[in-house]
This record gives sequence, structure tokens and C-alpha cells, in this order.
Amino acid sequence: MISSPSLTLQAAVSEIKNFSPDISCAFIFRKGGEIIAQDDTTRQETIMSAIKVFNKMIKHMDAVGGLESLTVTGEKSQICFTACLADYYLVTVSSKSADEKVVYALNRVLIPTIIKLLSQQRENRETQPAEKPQPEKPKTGKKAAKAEQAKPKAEPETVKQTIQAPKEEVPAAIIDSEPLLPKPPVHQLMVEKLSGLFVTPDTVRIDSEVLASWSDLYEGKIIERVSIENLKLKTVKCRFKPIKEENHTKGIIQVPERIMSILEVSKGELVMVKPVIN
Amino acid sequence: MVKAKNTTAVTPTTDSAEDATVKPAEEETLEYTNLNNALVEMRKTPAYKTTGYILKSETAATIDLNDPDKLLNYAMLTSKVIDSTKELDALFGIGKTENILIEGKTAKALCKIVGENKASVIMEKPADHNEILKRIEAAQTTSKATS
Repeated sequence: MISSPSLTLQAAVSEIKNFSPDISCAFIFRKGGEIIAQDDTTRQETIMSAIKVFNKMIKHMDAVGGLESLTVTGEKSQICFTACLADYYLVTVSSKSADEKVVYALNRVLIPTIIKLLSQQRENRETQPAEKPQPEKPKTGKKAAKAEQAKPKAEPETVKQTIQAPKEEVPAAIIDSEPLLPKPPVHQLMVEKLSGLFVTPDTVRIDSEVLASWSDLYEGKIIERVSIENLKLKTVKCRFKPIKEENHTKGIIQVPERIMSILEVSKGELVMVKPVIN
Repeated sequence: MVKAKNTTAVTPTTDSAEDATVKPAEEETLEYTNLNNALVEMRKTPAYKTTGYILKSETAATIDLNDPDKLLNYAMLTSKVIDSTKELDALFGIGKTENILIEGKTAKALCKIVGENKASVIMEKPADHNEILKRIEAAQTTSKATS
């Protein structure tokens, strides 16, 4: 399971295309080749090839003091590589007609800021447990001796435990991932109430196009459950089926009443949906 | 300020627009000369904030850099990036490359491909690359009109 920061980045990357339809492709990767987030349409192989090309170019960037951004303008569209933070890079492909200011704001301001914030958040989480015990520094003199006597013997151990416990929860890197499997794509779908006599209360129905993209991405892997997250970050994992109706609206998820009440969502609200990969 | 200038096999042409039998090679030379003139002019104008340029065609090359020690670094950077754009086109269908802007932490480089000629202008970080691009494109237009 990917950690919440990459879910945020995944959502941000998905939103880029909604925000500016002129952007046909967007993804974030690390210099080593790890894909952090990607849009729904760009193929994994294409991204990997682009990273290879980029790694060839980046070797020579010392001449300009290290890369900040690289923009290649072609006859039809332009591709922009932006260094966001340390070794995180954002790539967008936009049409030539795209609003320059919008593309600039997304590439150079919005996504880098999100990455920086996530990084700071992570640093804070890491430093907080270490800072907490500082006020309890051992006192010197008689008062300290009295305090030592008054304390039960087991206390130091419990302090240690409270310090160590959060470390287990902190993700090791901003974005942890399984090296062999691609990151689960996150889709933003609109909730539609699913009702009827034969409705299974623990199964949602999802657009078959979305399901097809998952099976393409995880060829051979059986996906049994999906994770649905509401805007308040409440998550539910449940089974899923493709939507039965052929002429249904795109971008929707049909949710039974029971799951709707657990998730605290109503019809028309947006939820983030991703496959659960074991 | 040390300048390294190396020009080889550039023959300015005097062909006029009326000449209907301009050979492609001569057209290329004219394009090269016009581009070089534009780049020389920009180098002389402090407002452009350029720190050097590399102009390359299949038969000639002109290099003018404030810091000649960085020649190899800039040459490698621009040629690698220009070469890689073909692969990016194959992947994302961006079309034939028109220009490339490399923004570094200390400097910027603008690469413009004009026919067979590849011009790479190195500039200071605050330089306006759009102005430089316009000037190069103006030189390109002049070449087309003359030929």
C-alpha cells in the first residue's frame, strides 16, 4: 500500500489534467527511475523510456549549475521537465496552445510546493518524537535524586516505547513503493447511489474502462478489492464489479447505501478510488 | 574577459532574392551567416545578458564563450539535449523540435534548430530568453526572405 503523501501527489497529478485539458501527460519520478505519481492515460513503458532519456541529459547539467527546468518545444506540443525537490522531477506534456501562465504555475509553483510541503511534513513527523522527551531531561542535585526515587522503575521503558512507536508509523521515504509493481493509479470518481433488490451491500460498481486500465497495468494480477477515500480522508476497502449499464455517465462510481453511510458521502460527491494490490 | 572564437569554413553569400537558382548549400550558408550575425550582435549588446554561443552546421562551427574552459561542458550539454529530443518526439509526439530551453541554477541555455544549423545561446539567469528567441527567429525569417 502506498503511503498518504504519494496519494496526495497522485491526486495532484490527476488534477493537473482536469485543471488544464491542454496537458496531455503528467508524471513525477525520482532520479533513480522510481515513478512517484502518474496520470491515468500515459503508459508505464512510455514513462520509463522518458526517464531513461532524461537521465542521459541530466548528466551534463553541471554546466548550468544543475537543472531547474528543461523545456523542449516541438511543432505540436512541448515537454517540460521540472526539478521539484532534491531528486524529484515533474514532467508535463502540453499542447502549444496551452496557457503558458497556467503551465508555468503548475510546473514551477503548485506541484513543487506540494512536494516541499509533504517533505516538510515528513521531516516534522520524524523530528517530533525526538523532541518530545527533551523537557524531561534528568535534573541535577537533590531534587533530581528525589524525583528519581519517586519515579516507578518501569517508567523509562514506557518512555522508550512511546518514542519508538511513532517511528514505525512514519514512512521510510516520502513515497514508499513496491519496486516490482507500478503505483496503484488513483481515480477521482463521482458517487452515484446504487439501489435495488439484488444489490450486494459490500460491492461497488466501477466504470469498466477504469477496470480495463487496471488490468492492463497489473497484467496477470488479480485485483479483488478497491480502496475508496472521501475528501475527509476516510477510507473504505470493498469488493467491486463493473457497471452494468452500457450508456452510463463516465467518471462515476456506483456505491450501495451501506458503504455510502460508512464513508459519509452522498450522491454527487467526489471520492478517490484505487485498486488494492496484494 | 577572455573570448574563444573559432570559425571554420563560413563563406558569406551575396545572392539576392531575385536569384531563382539558389542552391540549397548556399541557402544553408546564408542562413548560417544570418544566424551568426544575429548572435554576434546579441553578444555585443549587454542587455541580452548572453555569456556565449555555439553555432553549428554540418560543415562549420562558430564558438564564442566568456569562459572558454566550459566549452566542452556546454558543447556536451547542448548536443546531448538536442539529440535526445528525437527520442522524446517518438515517445510523446511533440513534433519536430523548434527550440529547447535549459534553465539551470546558475545559467540558462537556449537551443534553436534552424534547418541544418543548431544555435545554442548561453545566458545569465535573469536574461530574457524570449527576446533572444525572437532575435534568432528574426534572423531565420530574413534568411528565408533573402533566399
